[in-house]
Amino acid sequence: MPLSRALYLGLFFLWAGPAAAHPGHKAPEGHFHVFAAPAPGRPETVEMGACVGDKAPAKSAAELAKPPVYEHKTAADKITDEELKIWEQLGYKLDKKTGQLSRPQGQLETAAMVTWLGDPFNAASEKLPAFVWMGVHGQGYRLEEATCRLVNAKKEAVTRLELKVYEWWVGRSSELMAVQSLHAALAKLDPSKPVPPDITQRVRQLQSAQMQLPDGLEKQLLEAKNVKDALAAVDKAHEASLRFWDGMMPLNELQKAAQPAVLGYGQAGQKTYFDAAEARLSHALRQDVLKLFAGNGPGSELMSRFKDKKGVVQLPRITIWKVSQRPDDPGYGRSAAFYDSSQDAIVVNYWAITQGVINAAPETERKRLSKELADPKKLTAYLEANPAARQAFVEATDLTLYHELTHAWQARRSKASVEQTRGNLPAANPVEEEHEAFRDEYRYFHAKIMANPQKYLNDPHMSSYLGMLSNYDEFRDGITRMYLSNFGGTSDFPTIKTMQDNRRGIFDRFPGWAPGSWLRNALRKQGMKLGDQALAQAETDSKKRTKEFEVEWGKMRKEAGPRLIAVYEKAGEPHKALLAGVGLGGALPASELDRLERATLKQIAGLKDDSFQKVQRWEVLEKAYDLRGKDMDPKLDKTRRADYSAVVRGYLNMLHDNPAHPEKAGIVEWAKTYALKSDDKDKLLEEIRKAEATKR
Amino acid sequence: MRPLLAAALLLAGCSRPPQAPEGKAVYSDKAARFSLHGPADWRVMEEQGGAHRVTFFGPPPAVESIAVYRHDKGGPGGDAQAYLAGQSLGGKSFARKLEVKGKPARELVVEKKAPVMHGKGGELLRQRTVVLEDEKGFWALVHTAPASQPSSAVFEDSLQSFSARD
Repeated sequence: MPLSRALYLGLFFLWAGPAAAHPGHKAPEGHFHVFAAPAPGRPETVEMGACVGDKAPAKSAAELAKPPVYEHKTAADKITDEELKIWEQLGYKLDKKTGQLSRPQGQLETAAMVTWLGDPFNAASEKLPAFVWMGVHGQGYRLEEATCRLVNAKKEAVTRLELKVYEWWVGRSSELMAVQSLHAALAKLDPSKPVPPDITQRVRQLQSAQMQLPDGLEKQLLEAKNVKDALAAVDKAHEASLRFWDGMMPLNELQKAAQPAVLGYGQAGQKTYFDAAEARLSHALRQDVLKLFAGNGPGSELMSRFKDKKGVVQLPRITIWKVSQRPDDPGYGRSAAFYDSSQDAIVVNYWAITQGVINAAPETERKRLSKELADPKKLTAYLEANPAARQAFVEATDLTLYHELTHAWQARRSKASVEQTRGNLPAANPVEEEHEAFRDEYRYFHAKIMANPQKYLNDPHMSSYLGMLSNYDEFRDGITRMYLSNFGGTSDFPTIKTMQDNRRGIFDRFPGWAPGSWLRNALRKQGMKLGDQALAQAETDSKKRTKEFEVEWGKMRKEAGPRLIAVYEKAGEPHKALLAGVGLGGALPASELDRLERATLKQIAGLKDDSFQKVQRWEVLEKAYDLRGKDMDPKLDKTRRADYSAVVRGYLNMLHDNPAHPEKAGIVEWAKTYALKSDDKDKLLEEIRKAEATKR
Repeated sequence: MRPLLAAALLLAGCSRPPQAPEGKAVYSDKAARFSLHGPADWRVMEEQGGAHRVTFFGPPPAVESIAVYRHDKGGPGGDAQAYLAGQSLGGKSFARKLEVKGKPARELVVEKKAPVMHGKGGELLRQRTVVLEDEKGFWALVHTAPASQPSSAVFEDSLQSFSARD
C-alpha cells in the first residue's frame, strides 16, 4: 500500500489551494449549448462511461464491518510506518501492546476495513465528493476508464485511504477560507446587536459550497447572544486554523515567502503532463488557439501578452478531463472550463464539450464516437488525430478559452496570486477579476461581430452581449450576484484586505519569546507586507483597467448600433434592429429610431392573423416608445390592444384543447401578462383564472 | 466591499447622522453626494466605475441586491428614458409613475432571466428600477431579486430613506 508521493507533496499546496485552483471561471453560457447544439441528422448522445459510481460494490458496508478486528502482528495487509502517520492524521490510534487499531470514536477497526481502505479507489462503484475528484486530478491523477481507477503518471492507483486523507486536508483548507470569510463579515457589524440572519445563511452557503466549518462553530454562532460573542468564537476558530497551517509551513518556506515574489511563481515548477498524448493535444490546441485569435483585435492583443523575452507566445497548458465524476455533480460539474494557476493550465471539462464533438462529427461516425468517446483519453486521441474536429471545438469554445486565458494573464501579471500561493495573502477570489474576464471576452465577441455580423446574428451570446452594451453596470452586478450565490470563495479586493488585517491581528498574538518564534514572526510580517503591496497594486491595476474599459464601452456601443441594425434589417427583422437600437439607448439618432419604428409597424400590418408574431413586435415598439417618451397614436394603440386580446384568446384555446398542457404554468403567466395590455383585461383575466383551475 | 457602519457614518460628514432602523445602517458615499439606509449585514461594493455608486448584496444562496447609480446629463448611458428602455430589454416589463418623498419618480418592473454563467444562472429575476431625475441628470435605484421570492421590504426602506445632496 504505497503512499503516492506526488499526492502527499501536493497536500502542502492546500495552504493556498482553493485560491490556486482559482474557481472561476467560465460561464459555459452558450458554449455548453452552442457546442452541444442539436446536430443536423440523427443525434447520438455521449455515453456516461462505466466510472460514475453506480455499480454495486464488491463488498457491502456490513461485510467490511464484520470481525475479526485488525491485529497488527498477524495482519496480512500490515500497515506500514508511513501509512500509520496517515491513519493517525485521520484520528485513528494503533495500540502498540494489542496491535489493534481504534477509530476516532474509540471502536476497533476491522481487518476487512483496513484492507479495503488500503486498496485502490474504484470509481465504478464508489462516488467521490466533487472537490476531492477535482483536487486529485489537479495533483496529476487521471481516470483510467478501463479499470475505473485514478492513476498517476506512473500508473499508480490512488487508494481509498489516500483519498480520505486528501479530503481531510482539503477540509482543513476550506475551514480556513470559511472562518476568514465569516470573520470579515462579522467584524463590520455592531458588536452589541444580535447576530443577523445573514450570517447563518452564509454558513449554509459555505457548507453548500462544500466548505466546512470547524467542529462546533455553527452551534456557537447559532447560540451567540450578540455579534460580540459570535465574533469571539469565529476569531478563536480563525486563530486555531492559522496556527495549524502556520505549523505546516517549514522555516525555509517562510524565508522564501519573505523574499520579493517572482512573477509566475507557482506556475513554473509543475508544468508536467499526465502523459505524452495529453502533451501533444495541449500543444496542438495552443496552436489552434493562436491561429484563431490572431485574426481578432482583442484576440491577438491577448496572445501578445503571453510573449516571453524572446517574443515567443507561451500559452498555458490546455487539458481535457472529467472535472467531476458525473456531469451533474455540484461545483464545477457543468462548467465548460476553469483556469488553475498552480498548474498554469486551462482545464476543459470533458462533460461540457464531448456532446459537441460528437455533434460536429460526420453523421456516419457519431454512433461509434458516442461509445468510444465515453473514455476521456479517447477524446484526447480523437481530437489530436482530427484537426477539423479540433478546429470546430476551438471555434465553438473560443469565448470560454478567451475568458480563461484572461485569468491566466491576470495570474501572470499580478503578484497577488503569487502571494496567495506563498501564504502572504488570504486565499480568496476577487470578483473584480471575473468582471475583467467577462467584459474582455465580450470585447473579443464584439470584434467578431463587427467583422462579420451576419454570421453571429443568432449566436446565443448575442443577448448577453447586448445586455453588456446596454447597461454595463447591471451586467457587472449580475456577475457579482452569480459568484456570491454560487462560489463560497468569492470576495473582492477591499474584503481581502480586511481578511489580511484580521490575519495580521491574530498573528500578532503569536508568542515571540519561544526559541525560533521571533524569526518566524519577523519573516511572516515581512511576507505579509509583500502581500499588502501586491494586493494594493492589483486593486489599482484593476481600477485603471476598468476606467480604460469605460472609454472603450462607449466606442463599442457606437460601433455596434449601425452594424447590427443594418444586418437585422437585411435579414428582414426590423423589430430586432429596433431592439438593438433601443438597447443602445442614446447612441442612435432619432431619425434612425423613427425609420425602424415605421418598418416594424409595416411588418406588423403584413402579418395579418399571426397575433403571436405581432405581439412580439408590439413589445419592441412599446420599449422604443418608452425610450423616447412618446405616446402611441390612439388608432395604433387600439390595434395593439386588439392584438394582445387575440393572443390571449390563442392561449386560452390551447388550454381549452389541453387543460393539462405540459407548459400550462408558462402559458397562464404569459396570458395574464398580455391580458393586462388588452382592452378587455378583466374579462380575459377571469377566463384565464377559470382555465387555470380546470384540471381535465 | 467595505464595512458599512462606522466608516460610512464618518464619511457622511454629518454631525448628527440620521437614525437607521434595526438591522440597517446609514450609508453615505465617500463624497457625501447621497445617503440611504442599507441592510447592515449585506455585502457592499462601492464605486466600481462608470455610473456605479454602490451595490448591497444580500445573503446567498439567492442573492438579492440594491444598487445606486448616478447618470449625469450628456453621459454615455443616455437620459432617463433611454436608461429605462435599456433596463426593460429581455423581459416582461411594467412602467409607472410614482412619488418618492413627494417628488415625481418613474418606476419600471422587469422580469427577466439571469444570464447563464459558469453553468449557473438562468433563474427568473424581478428587477425594480426607480429613477429620480434632477436638473443635472438622474439617480437610478435598482432592486434585483429572484422572481420566485416574495418582494422584500428592504428596498422600500432604502428608497424612502434615499437622500441626494443638491
